[in-house]
Amino acid sequence: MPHRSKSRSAILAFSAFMAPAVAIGGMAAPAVAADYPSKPVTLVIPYRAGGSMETMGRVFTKALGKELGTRVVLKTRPGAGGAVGALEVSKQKPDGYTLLFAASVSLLWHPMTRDIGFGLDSFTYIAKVTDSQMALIARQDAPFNTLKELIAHAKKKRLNYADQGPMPRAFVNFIGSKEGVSWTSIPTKGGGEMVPFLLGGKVDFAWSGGIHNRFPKKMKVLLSFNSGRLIASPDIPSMQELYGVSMPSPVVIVGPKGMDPALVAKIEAAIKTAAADKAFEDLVTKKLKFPAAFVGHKALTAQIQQVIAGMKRVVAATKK
Amino acid sequence: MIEQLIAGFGNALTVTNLLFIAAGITLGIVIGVIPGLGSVTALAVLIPITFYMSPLAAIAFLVGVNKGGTSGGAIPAILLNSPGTPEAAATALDGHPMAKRGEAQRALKFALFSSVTGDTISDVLLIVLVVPFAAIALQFGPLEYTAVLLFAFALLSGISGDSPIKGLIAIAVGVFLSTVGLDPVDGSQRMVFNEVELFDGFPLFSLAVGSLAMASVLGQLFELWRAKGEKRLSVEEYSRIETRLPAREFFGHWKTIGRSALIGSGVGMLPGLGVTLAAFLSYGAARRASKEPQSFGRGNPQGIIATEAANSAVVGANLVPAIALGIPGNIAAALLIGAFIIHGIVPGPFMLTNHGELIYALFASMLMANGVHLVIGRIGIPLWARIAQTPRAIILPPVLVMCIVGVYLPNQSIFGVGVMLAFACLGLAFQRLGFPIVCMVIGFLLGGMLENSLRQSLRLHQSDLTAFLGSPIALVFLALTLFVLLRALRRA
Amino acid sequence: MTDRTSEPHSGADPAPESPAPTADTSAGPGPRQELAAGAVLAGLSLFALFWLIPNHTGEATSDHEVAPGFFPQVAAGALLVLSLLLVGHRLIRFRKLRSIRPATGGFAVLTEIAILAAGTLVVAWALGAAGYLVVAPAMMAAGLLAGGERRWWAIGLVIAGMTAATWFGADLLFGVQLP
Repeated sequence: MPHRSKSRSAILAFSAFMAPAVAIGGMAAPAVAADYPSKPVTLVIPYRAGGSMETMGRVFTKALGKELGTRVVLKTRPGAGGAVGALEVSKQKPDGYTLLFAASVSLLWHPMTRDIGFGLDSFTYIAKVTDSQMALIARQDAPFNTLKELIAHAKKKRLNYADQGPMPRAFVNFIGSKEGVSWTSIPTKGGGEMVPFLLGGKVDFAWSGGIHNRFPKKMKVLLSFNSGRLIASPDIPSMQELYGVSMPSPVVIVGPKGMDPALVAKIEAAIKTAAADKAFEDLVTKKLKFPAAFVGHKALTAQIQQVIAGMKRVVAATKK
Repeated sequence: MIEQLIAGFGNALTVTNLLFIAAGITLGIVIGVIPGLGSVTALAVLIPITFYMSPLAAIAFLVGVNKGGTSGGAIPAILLNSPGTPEAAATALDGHPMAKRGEAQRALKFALFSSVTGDTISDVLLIVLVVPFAAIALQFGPLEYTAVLLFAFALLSGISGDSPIKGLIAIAVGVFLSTVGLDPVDGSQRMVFNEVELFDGFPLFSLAVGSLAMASVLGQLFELWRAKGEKRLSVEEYSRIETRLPAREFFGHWKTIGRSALIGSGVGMLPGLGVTLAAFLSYGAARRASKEPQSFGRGNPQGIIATEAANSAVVGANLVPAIALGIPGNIAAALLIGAFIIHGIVPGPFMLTNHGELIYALFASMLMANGVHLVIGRIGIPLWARIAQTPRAIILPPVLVMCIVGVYLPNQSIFGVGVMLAFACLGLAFQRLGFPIVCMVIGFLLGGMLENSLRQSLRLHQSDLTAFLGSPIALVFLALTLFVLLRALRRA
Repeated sequence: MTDRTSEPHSGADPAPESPAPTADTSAGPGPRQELAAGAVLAGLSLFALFWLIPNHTGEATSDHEVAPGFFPQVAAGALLVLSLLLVGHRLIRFRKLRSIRPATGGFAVLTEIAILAAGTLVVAWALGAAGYLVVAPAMMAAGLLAGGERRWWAIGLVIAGMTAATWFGADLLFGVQLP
């Protein structure tokens, strides 16, 4: 028994090391795609259990397993806002047996701002299943109803807002720099800390990753950070419309870079059907109030490139 | 409300539901016994099983898991002095000395009874006060949290045992360790050396299991080794000396029970403070209120009562922010919220109006679960006590392996296991040199929270510390802090 | 079960304190070890204050803000002061303390920690290289032998049972493959 597991991990280590070489070669790839999947697929979710992403991933795992006709093993690998899991997947063999279910934010922000061990091009974007609903929000009784009024207000008095990390802060400050106002960011750890601070009046407005959908009567949306408008507030403009940049909202399934196109097509098709699975769609659209927005490999890759270009502008503008 | 609750009992009191609660509690206790695994992991693991249940059965089951998982941690803490969570470390402080002098069963009973009582009190408070509680929780901003945490530090310095200076050193080490990781404000690296796994700092579970449970087990193994098997160190011959715990004796400690349950409920209703803080605040308060504080840490049952009543009281109260505001009070509550969502219930201010029937059935299930918990826990005690009768040489090595498994399971990180092993070394060194390792763990936990709140406050108020004067809640806690510190100084 | 509990010698020691298996109160360290510990801690905090923190933390980004290094500095500073206090106190009262609490076991602590550190490195390396199914039995065997257990059947039973239980338990209940 010891010998077997020893040799197995040796192979794993070897294959992780050899991944780029295999990708360039790609000779045996069609055969790989034909009999895929011949063993269980691991779907890594780089977030702590219990959040809406993890909930979504859990239900999706079931649907995908049904579709692929194999066991899909869910592996949670939280840390560093998703970067730990992403790094791990980026080092695997691009054979389709290790996939990552993540918000694209986790794959883009870290490599743009620091040396983290994986780059912007480390992944094959296979498909998008939904969009996070990122918004600028305020309390329902706040003295401003639109972004314009908020900016006018901020010129009279210095306002505080709750961010949930460096990237939202950069985007909110980007708006500030475009409009010639400055505001103070209060770092909060996730929506669970932001909501009481906002409702309790400790901050004036806030960035929200989607939790505001649970409080339609207590919070109002001022701006969508997505490239399009939010499904719950179709009258509110998006950041792309106003400033030509947007935050990466797609919730994506990716593999390590260098996956064989036939394999990508096969997994993409399975994801497409799985994303339309009743239990998954019910959870996403009815319970989490996210849109059902499947986008395939080609369109998604182009969309991500566009988002990256916008993010680079924001990073450049807010860097001091 | 009473009618709604009665209707709730009508819905919840079915055989299936009771079975699910019982199964949940049993599984929760069994998982909670493994060092490093508590209610959080138990919930995360068992939520997928509930996909196929009706919403009420699912939630009743998970409530049972949460209760069982929280109280299960006391068992290894008392029997083997190998607490898997920081809050169980507070139980071990007095529980293990009791077990050593032959009162293992009594200690377990104290733990179970206080757990159930604390939980019941907190559940009743939850049901009666869910709406006003939520309003109070909203008053807590960065300033108020800072004040509460300062108060917690002041109380903590009081429980550090015989040598205050060593306790303070341990706290300082813990606080220093808590600063490793990405900076909470600007995300720059702090002593991270570009190691991605360290971005979030040292994983709490690795640190706690390594320095508390594993170090203690290793220490005991070294003792055995040094004794060379000639003098077998075992507690078996003492474990049956005194097993009885009459209800009258237990409820004789009603003051401690009540105080601890209130502390636990108060901490539980504030998002983010958590079980550990409740346990130690309550332990500190009990020690402070006692006429003979020296007896704490030497097997005073009040130590067990204070800890267990408080940490179980958090479980019920934690649902206050979840139900009233839709925000989780801690990770366990976040998992429960996730489960609610899967079953079509959106937590938040409208949960009571939209799903009133289900919520009251949930309340009823929680109260029923306390009864079931008592029965199942009571059946388990003689079984667990058998562990204390097995020779240590047999029982300890498997615990070592369980520590590894327990730390590996939730995040599947070998790095996490490595950190645990490193802290096992540090923990043993601390233990041998007489530094209270528990203080280090709590310092680690509270240090991060205090830094976060303080730096939020500084930014929010432009470094103007007079802002504290504008917050009555913060002022009350600052005054309490001052009071505790002055009293400690006067005694010293 | 019952035959194990009646080991020879196990019931012969009536004083629960003397062989206390934990070091919480009874087997306290002598002042000499405390002095050494204080000195080491003071050294470490100096190292943190003057090398680690300045070189490995960022700078403050705005006004109304303490630098990221501030909290580590406060903690390390407190540690320095406290450990120097410990050293000073134990030096002043060295003789008196030594008469009440003679050192138990000298510097056996160091041996223990050294063994443990070596073991830690081996285990951490082996978990990645050889996997759980090698490490767990080896660890348990070492632990059982160190604990004085010499019955081969008992050792085998515990090792096989625990390894199998954790391995399959993790897979079935948690869906996790141990490394």
